[in-house]
Amino acid sequence: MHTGFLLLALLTLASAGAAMCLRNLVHCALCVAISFVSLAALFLTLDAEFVGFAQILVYVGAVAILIVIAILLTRDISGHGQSLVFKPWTLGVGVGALVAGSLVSAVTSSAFTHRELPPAPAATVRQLGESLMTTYVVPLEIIGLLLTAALLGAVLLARRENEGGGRS
Amino acid sequence: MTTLQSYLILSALLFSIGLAGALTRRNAILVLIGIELMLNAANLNFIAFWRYGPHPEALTGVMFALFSIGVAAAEAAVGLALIIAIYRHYKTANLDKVTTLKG
Amino acid sequence: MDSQVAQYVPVLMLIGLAVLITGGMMVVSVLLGKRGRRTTIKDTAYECGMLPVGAGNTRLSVKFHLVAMLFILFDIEVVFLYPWAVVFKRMLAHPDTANLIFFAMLSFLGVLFVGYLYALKKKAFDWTH
Repeated sequence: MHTGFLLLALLTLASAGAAMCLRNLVHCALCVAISFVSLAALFLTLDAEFVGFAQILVYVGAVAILIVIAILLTRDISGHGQSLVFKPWTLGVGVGALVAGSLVSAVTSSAFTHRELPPAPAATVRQLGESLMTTYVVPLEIIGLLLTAALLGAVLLARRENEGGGRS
Repeated sequence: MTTLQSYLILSALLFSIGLAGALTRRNAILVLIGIELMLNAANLNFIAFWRYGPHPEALTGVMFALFSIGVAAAEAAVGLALIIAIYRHYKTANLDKVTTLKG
Repeated sequence: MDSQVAQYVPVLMLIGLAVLITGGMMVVSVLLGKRGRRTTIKDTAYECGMLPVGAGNTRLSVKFHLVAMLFILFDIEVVFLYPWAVVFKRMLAHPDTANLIFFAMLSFLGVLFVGYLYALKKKAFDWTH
């Protein structure tokens, strides 16, 4: 169990780091897809099967594809000789390291985080469906509204191709 | 046995990788990828706290993670549409070049 | 915990089998395949056709992006439909929850259908121009 967690954690961190460091943007997108897959496997080790399923379906199946298509659409023809990062790149990495240090020190100093694994809860899809239909029915409707708003905005933004920037 | 601590450290490191990438990379799509990594780290925290928490049968963390995945995907769709709209106007996805609010 | 992990052994076996088959095909084609002579003419994209014109990396149409974006949004819809479908029959049989489960999902789908109609109206799926 522990070696499995270590392997998955290493895979997640290594692919996430590679996604943020590589020069080729398509390689970055593929690395982030690997990171999403290993996060789904981590959800499985935490007995959250349905969240792992949703992670694969939404992130690996759709978001990674969308990122690849966006990379292919926005290929920068002119800017080949430019650097890939903002010039004082140590500043951004320093902020990241600072956040990592403070978070890790907060986690390690807390007494709560040493608890062992309680017995596995039965998070079946049936129970998820029941609570989705009773307690979480209003958030479900709001997610529907949000998705519709996102759909309208995305269609409107991406459609202005041949009209010279104006609406049809 | 894996403790809650190891999951929390993993998600803290993942969050920091995403943050450092979002702050340093110049390509707008990579900034968005960094934000997605940060959101995924938050999801891992939700699931870990749900699993190790006192009431795992309440399914709160799982539902929150599901809704968060939905919101993050909608955000990615709109964000990438914005990047494409910017690319069409400035002919670049480089954040240095996008300096004016009004075309 | 071990029984939980043991449930995924078939998945691992499937992954191993997939890697084995694809890798084996590549190895076998190298081992058994007849190595042809390679000349500059052989290496062109269309050996007997016209010469390719222009750069290889033409830009994609933005329609691909639009379709992928709509796919994401309906993908999330599927994620929420699945737990609903699992409990649908049981909650419909119960008179207290029958109205709730029917109209909750109906309004969810209805709201998303309005967005779908908008995308249709704006010719998001029209590939002719």
